[in-house]
Amino acid sequence: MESVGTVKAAVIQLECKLSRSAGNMKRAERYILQAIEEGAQLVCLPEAFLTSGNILEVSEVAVTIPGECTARLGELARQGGVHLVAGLLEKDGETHYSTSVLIGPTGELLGKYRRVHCFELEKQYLATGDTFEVFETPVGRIGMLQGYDVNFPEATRELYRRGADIIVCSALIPEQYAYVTRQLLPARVIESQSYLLFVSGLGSNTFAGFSYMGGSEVLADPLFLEQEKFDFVDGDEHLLVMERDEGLRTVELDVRRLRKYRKERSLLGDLEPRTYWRETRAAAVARLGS
Amino acid sequence: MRVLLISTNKIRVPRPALPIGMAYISAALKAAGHEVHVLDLLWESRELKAVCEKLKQTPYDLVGVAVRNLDNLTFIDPIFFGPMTHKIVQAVRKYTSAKVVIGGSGFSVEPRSFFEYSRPDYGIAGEGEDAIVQLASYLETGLGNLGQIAGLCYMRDGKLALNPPSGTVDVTRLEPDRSIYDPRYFEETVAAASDLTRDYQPAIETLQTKRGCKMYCSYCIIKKTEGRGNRFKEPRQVVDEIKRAMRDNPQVREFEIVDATFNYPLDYAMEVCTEMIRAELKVPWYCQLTPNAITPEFVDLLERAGCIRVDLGTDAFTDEALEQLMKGFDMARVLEIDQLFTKSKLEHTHCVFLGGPGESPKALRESIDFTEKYLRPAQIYANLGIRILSKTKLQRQAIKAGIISENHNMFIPTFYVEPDTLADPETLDYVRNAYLRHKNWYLWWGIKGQRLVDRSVEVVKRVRDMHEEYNYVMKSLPRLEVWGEADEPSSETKLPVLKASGDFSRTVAQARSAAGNCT
Repeated sequence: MESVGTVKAAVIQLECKLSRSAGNMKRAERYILQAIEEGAQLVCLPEAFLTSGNILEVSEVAVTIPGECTARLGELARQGGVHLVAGLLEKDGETHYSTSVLIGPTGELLGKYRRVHCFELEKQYLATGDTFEVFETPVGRIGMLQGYDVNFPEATRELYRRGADIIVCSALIPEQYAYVTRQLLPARVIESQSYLLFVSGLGSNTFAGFSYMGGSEVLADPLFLEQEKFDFVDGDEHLLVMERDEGLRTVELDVRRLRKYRKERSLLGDLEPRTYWRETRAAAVARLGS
Repeated sequence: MRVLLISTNKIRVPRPALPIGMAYISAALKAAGHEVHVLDLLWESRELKAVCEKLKQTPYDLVGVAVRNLDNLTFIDPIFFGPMTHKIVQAVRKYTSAKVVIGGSGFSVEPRSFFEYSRPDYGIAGEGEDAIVQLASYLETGLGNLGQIAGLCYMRDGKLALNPPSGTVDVTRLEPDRSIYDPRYFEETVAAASDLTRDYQPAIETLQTKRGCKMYCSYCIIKKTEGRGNRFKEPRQVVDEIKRAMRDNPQVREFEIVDATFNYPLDYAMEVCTEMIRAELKVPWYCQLTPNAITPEFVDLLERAGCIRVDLGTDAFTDEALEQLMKGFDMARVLEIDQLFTKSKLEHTHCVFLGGPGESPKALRESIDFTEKYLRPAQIYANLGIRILSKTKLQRQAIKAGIISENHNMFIPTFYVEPDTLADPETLDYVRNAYLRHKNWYLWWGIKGQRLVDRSVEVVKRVRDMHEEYNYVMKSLPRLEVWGEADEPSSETKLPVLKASGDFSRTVAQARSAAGNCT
């Protein structure tokens, strides 16, 4: 889409409280309206922002998509003429997913991403998605991930292959993984030659006894930035870093320039798909135990 | 005054060239009592990072950016250095309160466009040794008149003032400040690894014996960088300078005279050789020669003076192109000179452009056949196409041939490749195959892996991107009116409308009709 230029994106680092869906929604609304006020075109919320990571009670707290929550988000998106990404625990019949939704500026649900990677415990409560879609929008091609996905380069690589300009990773990651996650994010953004919005929730999981890391970040491929800026220094790939406070921050993303860079420096031609994943999962797992 | 000089040259082919221009400027500044620091970006893999770190380390009063080339002058693999210079200026603005001045031959060839694009405080077109000292003095004392500094470009009453260069620097006073050269230039492994045509290349020093040129080659801009006439060093000065350079740096084994054309005028070149023989210099050296002014006696003198190899500015292997390039000799002369050097102990290299004005596909093929059959150089160093620069006959030829428009901006890489030749895949294959057959013929490092026809299509797109980038930067910069001159037409580039296509002829035709075969 040739008309894409600079995009103002808003990251809402929300404290997602267990059993406080109404309060979580209310605060999210306030931040969304503030983001609209500040001129954001893309507004992003964390994973499971409404319910926090309440997978033990997922059948009670999950929402249908579309449903009441996405309708309200749609109203807000329409009101501000913005694109909106938000993470929700989704109910689909008897099956549940951790899902991100993409809502367009007319309020319609443009698409959703059901988290593909779930860890073992989660799999007892959540089903996994089976695709990484990229959605063409006036603010760029948007791909969605969720927190645990950052452990898997395959996820960002797939979005890269599908042309994502902006990857919105709505996350809710336990504090103990904060360091490793912060190490992984630059790698994910370099290998995907994209903008990566890591929109991370705060709060405590009283069932499991841990807190969520917060620490939202927006990153861009440092090789792209070094080409663009005269004063790039190592570390500048972090366009925005939030600590552990709830809040809203905005950042400008030059999608047009990023696309130009990717065209010049694309890794796609050097991929060798025939050499990947030739080992079966069973063989790999068996070796792990030997 | 504390001055930082930044050399921006990144060209390593055929071997890394010592930044002699910056060394002359350093010598002039030091002689005037200034403190000079240098940064040579040839050795920096992340150039802007190096610049920013250097600027943060020490406060400077003046930063000089030496631009040897606007681009790498290579149609088949074009690299444009303008954006890096622009970013260096931005870095100086951000990290220092220093004034920034751009100079060097790369600036001198297109001073107006370069200034408008990179927005330094000052530019110096032409020889800079006197101008930089006068400018530094003005900045330090506030005394003097900017309008009287030859070649100075600066903002005056909100407009761009472009003082004409004088081309009158006294060369007898000049000697480069060789202390600024990075020691890596003299590591034999570096020199040998970088040299594409030779297996062994010892450490060398370089020097100029004169400035200016009286030849009339259609593409040449030396009159802009050094002036039209000739100013000479005394032959004894030349020899003494070589001796000093060799003595001061024991790693140096050979030297190169880097005059654009050492043997024009011939009398002076013979005097220099004679002085070398008299002084029993006994150091191997090399130089660039025009076939115009070579006699058996001169070749004999070169040999006796220690010259071991010569690069001949043959420029073309067809009578048609030689005539269009205004070389003043023909192929019969090229053959004669080739035979003369073949019989001598001197190694000779023909430096040529392929596909220059008038060089039709048929003529180019015939020239390959002729070269294989009759010429016996140690090397041929070829370029496909010729960089077009403003106010040259080549520019007028390119306009006439429909390759560029009247107001085309020559600042961005723009090349003359004879359109019919560029549109002829078979002829390009013929050229490529010939250059692959001969280990000592060099055209482009990537020639083994790609057909020239495919490469040319890519180049057309890449150059189009450079024009787009230029327009992207200029979009945020107001155009500058020239002080004392009526407004000139906008030089914004017109982009060729190209579609990626496997059909090369059609693509080339589109390129030609839009904005030329490579602009």
